[in-house]
Amino acid sequence: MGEPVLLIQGLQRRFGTSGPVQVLDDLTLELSAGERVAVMGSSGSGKTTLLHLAAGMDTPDAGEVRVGGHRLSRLAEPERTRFRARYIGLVFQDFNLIDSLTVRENIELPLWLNNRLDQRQRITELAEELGIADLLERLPEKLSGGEKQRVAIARALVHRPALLLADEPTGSLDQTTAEGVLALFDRVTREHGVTLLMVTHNDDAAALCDRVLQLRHGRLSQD
Amino acid sequence: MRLLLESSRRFFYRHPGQLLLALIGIAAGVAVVTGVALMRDVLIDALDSATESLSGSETIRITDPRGPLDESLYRQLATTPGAPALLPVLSSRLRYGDRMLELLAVDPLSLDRDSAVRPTGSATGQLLTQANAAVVSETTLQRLGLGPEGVLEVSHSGETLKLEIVATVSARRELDDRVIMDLAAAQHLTGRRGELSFIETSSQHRDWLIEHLPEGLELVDAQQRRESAAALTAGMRANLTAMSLLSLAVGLFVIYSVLAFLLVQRRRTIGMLRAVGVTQGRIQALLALETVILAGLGALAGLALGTLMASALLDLVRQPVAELYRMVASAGIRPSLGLYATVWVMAVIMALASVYGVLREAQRIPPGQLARTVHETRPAGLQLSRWLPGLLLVSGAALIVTTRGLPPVMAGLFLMLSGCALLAPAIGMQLLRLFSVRGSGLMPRAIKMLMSSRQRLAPAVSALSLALALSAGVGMMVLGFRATVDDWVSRLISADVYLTVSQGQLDSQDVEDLRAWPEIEMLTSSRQIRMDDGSMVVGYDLNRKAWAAFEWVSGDRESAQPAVEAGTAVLLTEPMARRKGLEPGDRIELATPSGAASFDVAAVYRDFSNDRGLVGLIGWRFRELWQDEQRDSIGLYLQAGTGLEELESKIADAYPAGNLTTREQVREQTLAVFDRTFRISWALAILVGMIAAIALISALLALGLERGREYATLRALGLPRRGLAGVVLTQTTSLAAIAVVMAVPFSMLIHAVLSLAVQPRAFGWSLALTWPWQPLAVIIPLALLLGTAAGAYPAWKIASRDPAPLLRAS
Repeated sequence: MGEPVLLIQGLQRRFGTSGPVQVLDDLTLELSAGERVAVMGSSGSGKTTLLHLAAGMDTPDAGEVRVGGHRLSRLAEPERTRFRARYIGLVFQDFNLIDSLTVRENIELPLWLNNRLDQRQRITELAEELGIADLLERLPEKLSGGEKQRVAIARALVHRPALLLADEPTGSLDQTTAEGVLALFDRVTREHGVTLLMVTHNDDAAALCDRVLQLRHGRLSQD
Repeated sequence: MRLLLESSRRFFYRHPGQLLLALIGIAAGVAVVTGVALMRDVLIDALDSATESLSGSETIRITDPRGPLDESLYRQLATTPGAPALLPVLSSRLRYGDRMLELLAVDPLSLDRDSAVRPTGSATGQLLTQANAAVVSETTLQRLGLGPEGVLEVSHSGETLKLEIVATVSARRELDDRVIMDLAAAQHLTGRRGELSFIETSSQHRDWLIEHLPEGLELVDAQQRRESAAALTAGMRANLTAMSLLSLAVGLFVIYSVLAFLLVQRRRTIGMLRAVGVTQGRIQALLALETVILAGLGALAGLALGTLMASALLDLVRQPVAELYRMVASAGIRPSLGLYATVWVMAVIMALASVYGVLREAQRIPPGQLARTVHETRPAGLQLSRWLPGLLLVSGAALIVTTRGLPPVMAGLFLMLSGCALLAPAIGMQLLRLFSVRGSGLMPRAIKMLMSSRQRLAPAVSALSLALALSAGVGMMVLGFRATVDDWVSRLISADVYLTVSQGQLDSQDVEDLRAWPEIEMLTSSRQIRMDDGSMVVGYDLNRKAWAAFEWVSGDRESAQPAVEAGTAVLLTEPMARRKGLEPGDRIELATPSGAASFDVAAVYRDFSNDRGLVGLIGWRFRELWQDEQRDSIGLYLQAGTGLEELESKIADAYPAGNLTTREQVREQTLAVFDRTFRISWALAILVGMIAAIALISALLALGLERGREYATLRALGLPRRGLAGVVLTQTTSLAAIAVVMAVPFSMLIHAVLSLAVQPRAFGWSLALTWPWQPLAVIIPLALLLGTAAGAYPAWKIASRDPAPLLRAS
């Protein structure tokens, strides 16, 4: 068995200075290549914090995060940023598309950040796969919520990341749209063999994954 | 409403930086307007009130429109039965370094007991008995950097005088930069024996004076003197007003920028307030009240800053006034409650008017709006019809072209600049679009992101382009004007060297004596008389070279010279012709000691020496009418091979008090006066540039807040801090670049209007339109640097933020 794509060990994260709140406490997690894991938990349980730590956008108080064997805590901030651009894809609850860029340009961003603009044909391929090929020249504000999330998924996958991190990918969508997006998300991540860590409240979303973990009192437990 | 106000108060308490930026922005705009208003007032206020301090009452003044009064008149009036107390005064200019002082010589014994300058104790005796004794106010002494009983070394008509300060009088602003001496001593020192500038008495004796005054003399009361001062300085005040209006325009954009920035910050709060049921009206009322409070506080600070600014820059105005108009203005400003109240109220009203669009935008924030981002929806205040900029430009141009007065031209310029300000962002962004269409690097992406905020950034782009245009336009006008003056003075001064004397006068005999000197090929001479309205009458004795040196605005030498030499016609300078509405062929009547004399206008020539104008007539006719054989200066044309040193030695023997000034020295002195005159314009232009920089910084901070989530997303996707800083810096530099690009044509417009419309109407002279490139060469790189520097802080601030909290907040 190869090295895990994501390995988290003894992770601790506190917030606040006076009477700090221990959000993550000795948390451990391991994701193998192609594995899809959902983390569920109540609001404020630390799901998003876990995701931010896994993406290298936040630094732990103790413990370590390894992605593809790279220890993020040993990387300086600029290196972590470059690492994120190269190895990680992110899908946000609020899509976080750049309003001033077209759909094509939004999807192109990770290729540009990785100097891989020669792989632009991936944009068209993914757009067709996700059913947004005819939206490529539009600005995000002209899109529906479901369309925006499909664009966000395309942007997260276009550079073939080793790890896809998704934060409530259907949290801003209505039930019907959410179901459509989830089905697509399931198919695309499965076909691309993506290693996925998704935090969600949504049981249907969690059901897509190989494992579902509960985050309680700063630690993960099998459901 | 109490809770809403409390929410506002806490917001500003938690964001002191933004509060400070808002206050600075408003204060800076108000400061320039206040400062200019205070400086303008100094030019007409207290110019002639000095002697009222001497006599201690509202006065009336006896003057001779033809020149100085003969001292015998004073004796004659004073010994007439029933004569009121009369104060004979000799006034003269003194130079102390770069500073002009006014010598006021009086008879100390004639001073009223209540007079502010009546020396006490032994000082009166010293003034009467000591040839060089002088009295100055304590403030003047401090300003000159002298100790009590020091020696004041001044220059009068090129000769150095050493005056001994024997006493000081308490500080009164009317006595600033004035030196009080005994009349007889001053007449002796200045070589003006038997001369008086005027005789002053209480205005209640007007009727007695009318009854006893010889014909040809005038009575001038305080109001007339103030009006005369106002007319004399009208041009300079108009220039200051123009700068003040332009500053105000830039200031308004600053206020809009700053308040729009505050609105962006609270978009979420307002959305939530709307969601819980706060009405649109209440939100608007809250923001309007905030604006009034902020503008009110900012304006108060601006009044204080403006007062300090006026005090600091006042000398830049006083000095040219003293040199050009021979008036020593008060060294201190006199702020009035009325002025402060007017500026304050105007600032608050203008702030409310300028944020009308912001208030409308706030009204449109939907309940529950939680994002700060404003997409392409235009703020309501900027939903201006497409044709409005064009209409403003056309109507402004029409006002400038079709009217003759100065106020309509100012209004026209203001309208045109408003049109330009509205056009600048739209055209600038179209230009930027060209850069963003192609390419896939950081720059096109950064520009694309910038363009989606164009409505938010429009006021900053307008303010910056206007400020740059103002600086460059004024610079181009000044340099173009300077080149014209240089060309004029170099052409006009045809003699090799000019002879003047420090004491006494040259006369016709001197002219004849000098003409016989073998070193001298030919000469010219002139005698000028200053008229009451500040204009001059000059008696010219010209040779062929001097005639050839005139630059004719209308008429020509061929027809003018014979008529002028025949004594039937006169030459007018351009300001005189324009002010009186005369042209060749018209008639002009001059009041002379020999009675009114009428002349044809032979020609109009270019002259920049006096903005009130000058009438030139042939010397013999002048001497006949004014019964004045004296000459102010004689221009000497040297025989080939004659050395200047050789001539200087001979002149020193023949005229011990004589001064020789070479052509180059005259040119340098003229240009030095010119440079000093326009220092205030440069100072104001720099201030306006600084205000625009505040607008730019606040707009960039607003951009950072508005785009915070996008920037965080880019960081989350893997854009390094340096890359994000690069994005922000590219955006700020792009903003500066479009402001610069738009400022180039705007500056040319300002230069053209100032040169072709404002200068002729304010001063009476027309300027050839040249296009000096130096201001643009300085301002373009400076503005780009400023844009980059102004973006450095927002770039650092934005790039140093961690993306996680921002994403979490969204």
